[in-house]
Amino acid sequence: MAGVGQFERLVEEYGTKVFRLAYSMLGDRAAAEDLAQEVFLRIWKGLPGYRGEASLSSWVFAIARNTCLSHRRREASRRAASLDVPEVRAAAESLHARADGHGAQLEMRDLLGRIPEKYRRPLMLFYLEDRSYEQVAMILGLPMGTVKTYLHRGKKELGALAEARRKEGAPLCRALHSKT
Amino acid sequence: MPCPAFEDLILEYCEDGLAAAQRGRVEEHVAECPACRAFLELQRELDSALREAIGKPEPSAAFHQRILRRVASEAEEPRSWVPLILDAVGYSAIAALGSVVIQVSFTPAQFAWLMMGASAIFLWWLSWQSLREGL
Repeated sequence: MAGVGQFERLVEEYGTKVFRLAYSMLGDRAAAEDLAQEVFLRIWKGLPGYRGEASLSSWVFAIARNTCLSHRRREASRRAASLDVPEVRAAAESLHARADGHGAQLEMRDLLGRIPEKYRRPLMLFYLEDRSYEQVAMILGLPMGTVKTYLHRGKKELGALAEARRKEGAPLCRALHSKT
Repeated sequence: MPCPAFEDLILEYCEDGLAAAQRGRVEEHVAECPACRAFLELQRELDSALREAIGKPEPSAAFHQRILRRVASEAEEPRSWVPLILDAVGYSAIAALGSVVIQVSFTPAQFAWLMMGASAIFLWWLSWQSLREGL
């Protein structure tokens, strides 16, 4: 399984999904690409040891999740002194850089950064993966019922946050709640 | 507030996750319940706002090639001879010292110096083993 041709097919098949998983955790495209490269380097090194006990996709995404989580832990300890959530700030900065007049998007990204990560990640992947429960379940290694539960809890938390923002007069939340 | 029995069903309805029969059930209920209708509208707005905010970021065009180049460069990186040479020097020194100890009789002072030398070599070897991963 460790042939170069087979590895190329693997990159072709899973590259974008691994990128999206990294993006759902980091919120920054360039950083997600770098992290996805790291994932594939580990996959390459691990391929000779792959015995097929788990399906190839489960194996690939397990490595991807572990690599992303290790990265997060390293970043968290590196920035332990900061109260900022780095991926949210990076996402906000990248949006600021290219999105004058996209206040509503910024506001939604900000709200997304305020819900627990275990809800945020499936929520982001759901939209990145064309609203497919199955794809999110496969990438995160979760049962589909759990994915739906996390999605719905995330949306309910977002709704509550938007309601609180509406009371402060934020534009997106005013629009969201104008019909209620 | 939506009816508790319909809250998750409405969320799933907005995600196109319901079978036709359940969709019909939600639509019938929403037609009669203003609170659930408002919740459905809110979820549609939220869905659209999330879609816009998250967007559809794709990796750059060179992404796959960059992965393959990086893996190729790691795979082709030539192995350094330095670790092998240093290993050979260390093991030879240990072997030479061992053969001297076996063949020659020493005074206590000479033996103490010998042991200090052996300890120094051993410590050098330990440090080298911990460093060689980086070469």
